[in-house]
Amino acid sequence: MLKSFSKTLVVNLLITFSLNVLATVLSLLIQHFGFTEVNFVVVYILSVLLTSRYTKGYVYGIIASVLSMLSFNFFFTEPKYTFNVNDTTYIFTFMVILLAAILTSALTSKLIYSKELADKRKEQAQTLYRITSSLTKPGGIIDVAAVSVKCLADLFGCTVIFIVINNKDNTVQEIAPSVSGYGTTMKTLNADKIKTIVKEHYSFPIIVRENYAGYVCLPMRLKEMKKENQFLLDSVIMQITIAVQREILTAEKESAKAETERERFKSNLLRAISHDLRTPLTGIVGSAEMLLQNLKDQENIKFVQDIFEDSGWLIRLVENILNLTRIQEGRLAINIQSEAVEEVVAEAVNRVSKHAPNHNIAVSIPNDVVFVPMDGRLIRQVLINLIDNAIKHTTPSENINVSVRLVNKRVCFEVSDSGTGINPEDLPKIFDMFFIVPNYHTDAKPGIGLGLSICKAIIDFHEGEIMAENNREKGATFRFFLNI
Amino acid sequence: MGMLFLIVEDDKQIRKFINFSLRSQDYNCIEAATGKEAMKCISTKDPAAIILDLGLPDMDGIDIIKQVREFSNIPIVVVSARDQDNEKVEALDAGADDYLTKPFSINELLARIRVVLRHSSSNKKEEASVVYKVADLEINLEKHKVTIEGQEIHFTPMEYNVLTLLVRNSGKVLTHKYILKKVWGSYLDSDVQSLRVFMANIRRKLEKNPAKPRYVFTEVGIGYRFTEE
Repeated sequence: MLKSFSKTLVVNLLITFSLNVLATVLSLLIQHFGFTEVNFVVVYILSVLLTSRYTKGYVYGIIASVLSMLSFNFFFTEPKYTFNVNDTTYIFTFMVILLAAILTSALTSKLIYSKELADKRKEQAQTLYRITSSLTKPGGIIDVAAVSVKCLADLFGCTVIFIVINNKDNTVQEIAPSVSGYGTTMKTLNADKIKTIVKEHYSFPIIVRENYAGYVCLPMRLKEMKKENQFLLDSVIMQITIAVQREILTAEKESAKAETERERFKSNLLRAISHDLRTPLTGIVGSAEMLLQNLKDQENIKFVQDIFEDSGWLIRLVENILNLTRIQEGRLAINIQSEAVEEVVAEAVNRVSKHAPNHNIAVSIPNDVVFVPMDGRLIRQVLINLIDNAIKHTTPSENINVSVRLVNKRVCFEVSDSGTGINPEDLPKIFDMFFIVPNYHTDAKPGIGLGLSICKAIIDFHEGEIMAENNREKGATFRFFLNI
Repeated sequence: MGMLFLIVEDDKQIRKFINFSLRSQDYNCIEAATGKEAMKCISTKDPAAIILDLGLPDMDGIDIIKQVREFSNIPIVVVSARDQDNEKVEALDAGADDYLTKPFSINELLARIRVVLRHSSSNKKEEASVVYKVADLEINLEKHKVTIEGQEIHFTPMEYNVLTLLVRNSGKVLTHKYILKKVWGSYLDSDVQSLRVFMANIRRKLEKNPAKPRYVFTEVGIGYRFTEE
């Protein structure tokens, strides 16, 4: 640094002196041809101008001005070759030369300074543009990191480390230029390692939506850099942040799209299977029912009875799956209408009673008709599942109560029974998808899990609330709320 | 042999057991697996009733209903695996007499068939009964009088009109649209809500426990059905 400074000093001084000598020689030459003194003054001012142009800083201009004045005094005023002056009017001339020279040099150096500043800004803008445009191309956050590392390394002539933090799967990768100087290397880091790297470097966090998406780590020595470079660095970091943000958003969008595709595929498959199952099941149930009416042999009747009941159970399962696919398909397949609560409840009770004619189901509803926006068939399905579940856990002598009442601008539906109740350990999981009570009797029908999880899905879709609890005395209560 | 029924259904298994169960009730059956076959049978064999699956391979069941209704009032019971309410409603509004959703029980099917046959024969005889009686309920259509356990119940004229419409079609499902058209003479989607209010009032006057009805049943998303016996 110091060496180059003294070097420029010497060069500048050399320029200053030689221009002065040149002006003096020129003046002497034209004096020889008999030109007037005014011309010498002009020549000296020209030399100051040139000095200012080809040196840096106005110090040299001032030096040149003083030199010009002294040279004029020394070479061209009586007595010549001394710094004395006989004619005192020359003092005024000196002053004019000095003033003119200083003003010229100041003006010129200011002009040069502005030009340099403009050039530098232009260069910065170009650098920024180059980096920005190279940052728009990559696909994927790792690519962005690699490009950033390369750009910053080129810009500041140093090694750069980019730490990429993936908030989704909590993986961290370090991207740094490879030893050979071409391309980048990648490795996976742990949290402690990140901390040390970040601490040992001049680091900038990349923050996307209040999450740390990564760090750009520069060598410590860059901390004391010039103001304009600082500005450039900040701009580049901002561009990198924007690029990272863009990549994160794109990745999220793509994964969401893939997720919906998968969901759609799944529900299409489920629906296709369910539809195809229903036709043969209808045949099985129908044939079994017919046989039941015509068979005489008690043993055979028992077999057919089993076929009839099991296929009936399968059909109800298929019905539930079809409803589930309708919910997963979303709003299009669901028809929200204002329905009279009592109609939906009555139909649900009526349907279940057909399967379980021996159970007595008590129903109570509000005196006034209550309308609730809902998909009537889905809510009917919820009630059917809950009442079915109650029937499964009770004997015909035990009670099942279905009630509807208004609670704080919401409608509360309740299905309670005095049956076996729910195992307290199972309570938190009872609405989970495909949860089946583990110690369920092997000869009993399984599948309560699917029924209840479908209830939850339906109620969630209606922005309601569903819960289950054991009664203080006996049995369990399932309750759900819908907004009016 | 008794009456001749046409079973239109593409699934052989289902066709077979419907056929068998109808025969066990001394009905006679012919089968059709496609819409074309069905149309041919209807025009040549003149069946007494049609059991129609909506999902046929060659044509939409609803189109069959529309075509048949152009020249005949033959009772049609729709049997469908489609779980979309609007298709059932569409079929009923196109002129089907009743519907069953797969899977259905044979007894249910037989009950529906009996109901539609009864109505088609009573249509011919021009309103045979003036007094309608079921359980404790008695409706005198001539005197506009409704009693339960001998106790007279007052209905507003509109309520009475809805009630008698249901009673005249007892056992059959009536769509919201049908009831609104018959009683109010017009149909708007927004009217369904007021129909529900009417039904709620009728239910409270008629039923001991409106949530466990004895007389008027709801078919959510479709309409209402008055008890058949």
